Amino acid sequence: MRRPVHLRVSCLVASILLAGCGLASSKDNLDLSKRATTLAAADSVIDRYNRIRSQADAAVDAGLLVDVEGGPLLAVDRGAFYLRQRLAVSTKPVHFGHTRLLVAANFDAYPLWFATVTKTAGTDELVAAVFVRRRSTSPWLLTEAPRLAGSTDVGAVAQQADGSAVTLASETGQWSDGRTPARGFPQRLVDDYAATLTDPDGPEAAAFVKDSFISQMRTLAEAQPVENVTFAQHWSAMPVRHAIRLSDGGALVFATLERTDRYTVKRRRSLSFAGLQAAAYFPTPVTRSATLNYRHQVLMLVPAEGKPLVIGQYGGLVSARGS
Amino acid sequence: MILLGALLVIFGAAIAVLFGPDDEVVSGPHPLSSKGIAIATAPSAIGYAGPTVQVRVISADERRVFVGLAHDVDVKDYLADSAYTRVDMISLPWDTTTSQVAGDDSAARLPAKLDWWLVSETAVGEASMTFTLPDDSVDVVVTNADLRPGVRIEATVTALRSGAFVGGLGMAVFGFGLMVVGRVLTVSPG
Repeated sequence: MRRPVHLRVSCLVASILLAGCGLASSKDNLDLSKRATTLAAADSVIDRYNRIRSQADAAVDAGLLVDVEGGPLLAVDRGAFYLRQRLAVSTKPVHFGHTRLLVAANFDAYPLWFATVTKTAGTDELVAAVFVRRRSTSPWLLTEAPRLAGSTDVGAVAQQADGSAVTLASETGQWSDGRTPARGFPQRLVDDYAATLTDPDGPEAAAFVKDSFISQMRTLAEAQPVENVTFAQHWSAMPVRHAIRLSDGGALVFATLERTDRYTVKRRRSLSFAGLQAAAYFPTPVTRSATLNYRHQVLMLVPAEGKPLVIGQYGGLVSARGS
Repeated sequence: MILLGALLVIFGAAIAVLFGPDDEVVSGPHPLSSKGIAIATAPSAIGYAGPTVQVRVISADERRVFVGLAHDVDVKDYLADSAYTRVDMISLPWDTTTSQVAGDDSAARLPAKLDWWLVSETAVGEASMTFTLPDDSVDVVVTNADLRPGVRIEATVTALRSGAFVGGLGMAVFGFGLMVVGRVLTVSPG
């Protein structure tokens, strides 16, 4: 009866010894994907953004922005710099704090992207920033940066077993954990939101909370001149690139909305934009028509239950034409 | 128990002999070359994690040479569209299976300018790097530092394991002890 005991003890000792050797372990299930970034690397990206952004702010040189910004955000900030130059207005320099919340998924190939929520210096606001790296040889560019109220809680991000965030792959339309989102999500949702902004009484409006962004834009539209001018406003959504799933089944969607304000002036009348941002494009009154193009980046919270609402936005006038 | 002791003696002695008093297993130098801009391992070529490894490359042309370790996602994108030699498999003590990846010689950014290398070194004539093999899918990349096509090197790979020699000896001694105890128990009455 002693032999089995000896055998068990011997096997135990041998196992401990072999494990103690710490020799190579085989990678049987080779995972080829890579986490988009780490916390330290994300902060390093933010530091680089801050450094170049401060140079651009100091010199009021939008040309420097191309090294750190891309996509619709670059158009928005170029527009802002143009206004600063033409109207000689001063604005607070943009400076982001270090990462408070990092959302980074695994990727099999470039482009990579990650989102970070951080504080903006000198304000009570947070920014939900999306950085994209298109190629291994290109820099990280900030492409979306909606501002949130300082008290905003974006919720807990859904994670896979390895700690990576669950995000939407825009190429496949699938969540990164392989699940399929609801049909048409998120583009149809954002298209409907844009339709609601165009027509607050339209059929899509009932699907959304009447959030502060809708109210603000409606107030702006209603404040437009009506005397001797026909005013029309239209909203549309650009393709949605980035969405994040929340642990409760909800989602965060980054979207960019295009807003077009069109003014048609009655014959022998004129419209002045003096004192407004549009004066940068129209220093003298227009006598026929004017079209102002805006971009608004929004962060939409899609609750697991209940109506979606926009919880953050950033945007501005990007171009204008008229006579 | 005697059998287990014997196995431990053989295994421990083998480790001690393999690593030697320097606690190193050296393989190389091995000549490798590419008409393209790089020599890079495929993820399948590094199928193990854990050991600390030193890779030393010597340029056969006395050129400034770059050696780096990076995640496969980064390397795959970096070398996309470039002609290079891929090391698909490495069998120890040393045998490699390579394939030529077609592409042009258009230079991407110089490797030393990129921020995603886990470890790297650029030097004239000879460069080396030491790293612990990670669980992630990683590739070793060797290029001329200026990305000029035509890479000719000699590579030496060294596995480093602190205490391997003493540990191996200890294992052998312990195994021998097991054999002795087993022998005593076997001949004991009852």
